Amino acid sequence: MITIALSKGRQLKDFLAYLDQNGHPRWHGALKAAQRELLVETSGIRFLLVKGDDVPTYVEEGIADLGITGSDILAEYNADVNELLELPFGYCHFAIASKEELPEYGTIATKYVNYSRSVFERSEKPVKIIKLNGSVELAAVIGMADAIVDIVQSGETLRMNGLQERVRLDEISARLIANKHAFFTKSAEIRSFMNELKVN
Amino acid sequence: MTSFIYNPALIRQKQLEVEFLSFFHGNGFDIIDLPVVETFDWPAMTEDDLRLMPQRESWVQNGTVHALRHDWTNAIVRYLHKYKIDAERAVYSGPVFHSGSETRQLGMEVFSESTARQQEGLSLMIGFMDEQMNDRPRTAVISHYALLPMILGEEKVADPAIQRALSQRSTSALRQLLGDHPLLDLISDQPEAQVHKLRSAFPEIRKVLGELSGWEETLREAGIEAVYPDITALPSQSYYDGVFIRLYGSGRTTPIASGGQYTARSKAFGMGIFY
Repeated sequence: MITIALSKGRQLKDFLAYLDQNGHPRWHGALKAAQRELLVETSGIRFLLVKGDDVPTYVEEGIADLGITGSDILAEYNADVNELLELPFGYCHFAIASKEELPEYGTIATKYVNYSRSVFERSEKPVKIIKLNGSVELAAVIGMADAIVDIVQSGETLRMNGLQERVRLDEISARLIANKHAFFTKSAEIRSFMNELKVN
Repeated sequence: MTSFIYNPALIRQKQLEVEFLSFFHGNGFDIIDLPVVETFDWPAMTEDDLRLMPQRESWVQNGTVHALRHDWTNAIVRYLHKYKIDAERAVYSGPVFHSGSETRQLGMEVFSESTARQQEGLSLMIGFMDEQMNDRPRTAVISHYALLPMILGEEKVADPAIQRALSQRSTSALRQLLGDHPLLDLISDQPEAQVHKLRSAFPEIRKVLGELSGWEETLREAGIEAVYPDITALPSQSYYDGVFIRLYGSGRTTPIASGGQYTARSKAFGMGIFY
């Protein structure tokens, strides 16, 4: 039995769509049938449905052998895990967005503090970063920050809040991560899961 | 006024240290000690020193960098760059400090080129853990730091992007960076099958694989139930240049002991238990 931590929410929907398209009716059926359950068992696999930010922690601590989470989470949290595969779903990107286009953005609001710091260090621009845990768009709308750094999928949330994407940053997709010890001790199950995912 | 708190766990910890030192001393090891505060001269700092510094508890006083001991083998290697140790085999115990927390290390070093002498040290270590510690080692992950440079070439192994992909075992990233390199085919296999495949794909590394097999045999004879080879391991410090072993207890995801072959003045093997 292997245990796999999955991000709830949008990424789970993307994963379910991927399973549906790639012929995994048992996993798809069991996960889709889960209402508010956080633990789903099917065909020798235990899925844990957790908050996206927590997936690397479950894997690093060995509670889960594998995890599926976004590369945005891995870029932000320096988890000590193996990042085995880039998965073909969960696509979006990081972006700098603001109400008005400015020559420089001196104050940035974001959930991704470490990632944002690395972006502005790369561009050699000093910046003040304000950490927020949600509704990040509001910070740029009410003038708390000149811009935000956030993940963008369709851009609808930005548009609805009167913001525009100014700089497209790194691309994001889902990643399969593994606990460093389970990578060896459960190698047969892990490789079997990887093969079943049918990622080229 | 002094207060006395009887703490059985603390007493057991002290007893374990004494038992460890006595056990190895009884097997011909000299007991050594080194200062817990290490000093570094700015101009003489090596790349290894600089790489490790962010994880160390350090401060600057009168132009000299001071740091709390981070790892016993590291401290011994630094000592050996300046001074001689007369002992051929040494044993130690004491605290180490990593990223703001203190743990304790029990360890031994064999300053000998003889693989048989080094393996004898490893067997004693596992024997002690089996007899005296609650957390007995059940599985081992074994690597050899000469493998990757021979498979990929020194230049590729030094590339930071390749190093990152290797350390994360990222098949996707390695495919992007290395193209159709035979290493990709190897790491998609079970670890147990990788060494066999490696032997036929790279005949020139048979000698290194032979060394690896010898250490694997020592581990199995010492009672380790499962031994997994790790062909993509990268050394944490440049002085590690041979076999490296991590020992795990039942259900544990962090090693309870680790160590390997290194060169400092001469060839050596060291291993520490974290407790």
